[in-house]
Amino acid sequence: MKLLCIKKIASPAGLALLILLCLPVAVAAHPIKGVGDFYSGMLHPLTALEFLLSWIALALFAGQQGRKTALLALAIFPSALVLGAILGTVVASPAWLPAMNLVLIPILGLAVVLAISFPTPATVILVALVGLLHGLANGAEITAPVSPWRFIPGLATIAVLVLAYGIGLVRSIKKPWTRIAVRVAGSWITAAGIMVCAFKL
Amino acid sequence: MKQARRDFSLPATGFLILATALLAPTSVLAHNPAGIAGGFASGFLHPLTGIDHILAMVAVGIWGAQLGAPAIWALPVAFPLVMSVGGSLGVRGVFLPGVEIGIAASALLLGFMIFRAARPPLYAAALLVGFFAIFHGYAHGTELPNAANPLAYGVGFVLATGLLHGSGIGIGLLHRWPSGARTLQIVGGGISLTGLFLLVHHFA
Repeated sequence: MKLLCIKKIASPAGLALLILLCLPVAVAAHPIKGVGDFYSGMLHPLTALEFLLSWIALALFAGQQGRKTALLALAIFPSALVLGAILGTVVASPAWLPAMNLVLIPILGLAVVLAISFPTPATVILVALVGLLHGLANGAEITAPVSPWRFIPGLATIAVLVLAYGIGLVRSIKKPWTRIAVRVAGSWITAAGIMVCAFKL
Repeated sequence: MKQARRDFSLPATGFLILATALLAPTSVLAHNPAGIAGGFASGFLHPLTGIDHILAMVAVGIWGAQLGAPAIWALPVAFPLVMSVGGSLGVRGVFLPGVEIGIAASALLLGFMIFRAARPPLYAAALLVGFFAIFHGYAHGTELPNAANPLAYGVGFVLATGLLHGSGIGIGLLHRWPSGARTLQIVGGGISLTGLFLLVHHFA
C-alpha cells in the first residue's frame, strides 16, 4: 500500500522536479571557470536557454513517440551532437546558425503540443538535424585552451541525461491530466520561442 | 473509497507544483539581476506586479474549471500560444489601441462569466479568452526587447502566466461541491467589480 502511494506521488514529483530543474539553471553563470573541460562541455548547453528549451522539448517529444522511437532518438541525438561538435571545431559556423537554432525552439515545442505520433523517419531526421545544428554551435565555442577531447564527451553525456530524464518522465506517466501537463510544457516553450523569434528575426 | 483517493491526487499535485514554483523564484532573486537570471526574474514578475493581470489570469483558470472538460484541458495548452501572438505584436511594436483598457475589461468580463457560471459553447469561450490573451501578451511583450535576456524574460512571463492559470484551476476545483460552486460565483463577482473599478480608474 505504501509503495502504491510512492508510485502515485512519483510522477507529479518528477514534474515538479522538472520545473525546479528549469529554474536554477537560469541562475547558473554563463562563463564556466574553474571546472574541468569535461564539465564545461556538460554545462555549456544548460546555461544557454536556446539549447536547453529545445532539449527539453525534444526529450518530451521523443517520449511521446513510443518506446522504440524514443530509444532511437536517445542514440541518434548524442551521436549527431558529437558529429556536429567535431565539425564545429573544424569549420567556421555559418552566419544563419543562431537564427536557425532559435527557430527550432517553437518547432520542437509545437511538436510536443500536437502530441501526435510522427512517422519514425521524420522523427529521426528532426532529432539528427537538431543534434547537428546544436553540435555545430557548441563546437564553435571550443577555443584554444579547452580540450575538445574532454568538452565533447561532456556534451554527449549531458545530452543523454537530459533526453533520458525527459523520455523517462513522459513514458512513466499514466493519468490523462499528466499528458496534458506535458503538452502545457510544450506550449510554454513554443510561446517563449515564438516571441523571441519575433524579436530576433 | 478508491475514487476519493484518486480525486485527492489532483489538488495535491497542483499544490506540490505551486510550492515548487514558489520556492524557485527566491533562488533567482537572490542573485544579481543580470543575464539569464535577471531576464527571467523581470519576466516572471511582470504578470505578477499588476493586479489586473493577476485577476484576469486567475479568472481564466477558475472559469476553465467551472466549464469542466474539454475547456479545462484545452485552455492551458492553447492560451500561451494565442498569448505569444499578442506578445509578438508587442515585441515588434505594432500599434494596438486600448491595451490597458482591454486588460481591465478582461477582468470585468471573465469575472462576470464566473459570477453567472456562464456556459457558452466552447468556441465562444475560446474566442473571448483568446481575444483577451492577445492584450495580455502584448502588454508583457513590449518589455521583452529591453530585458537582460529576452529568451529568459519570455520563459519567465509565460511560466508566471501559466502558474496563475494553474492557481485559478486549483481554486476552481471548489466547483465540485454545491457550496464551493456558490463561493466561486462570489469570487467571480469580486473579480468583476475590481475589473470595473480599474476600468473606471483608466477613464477618470
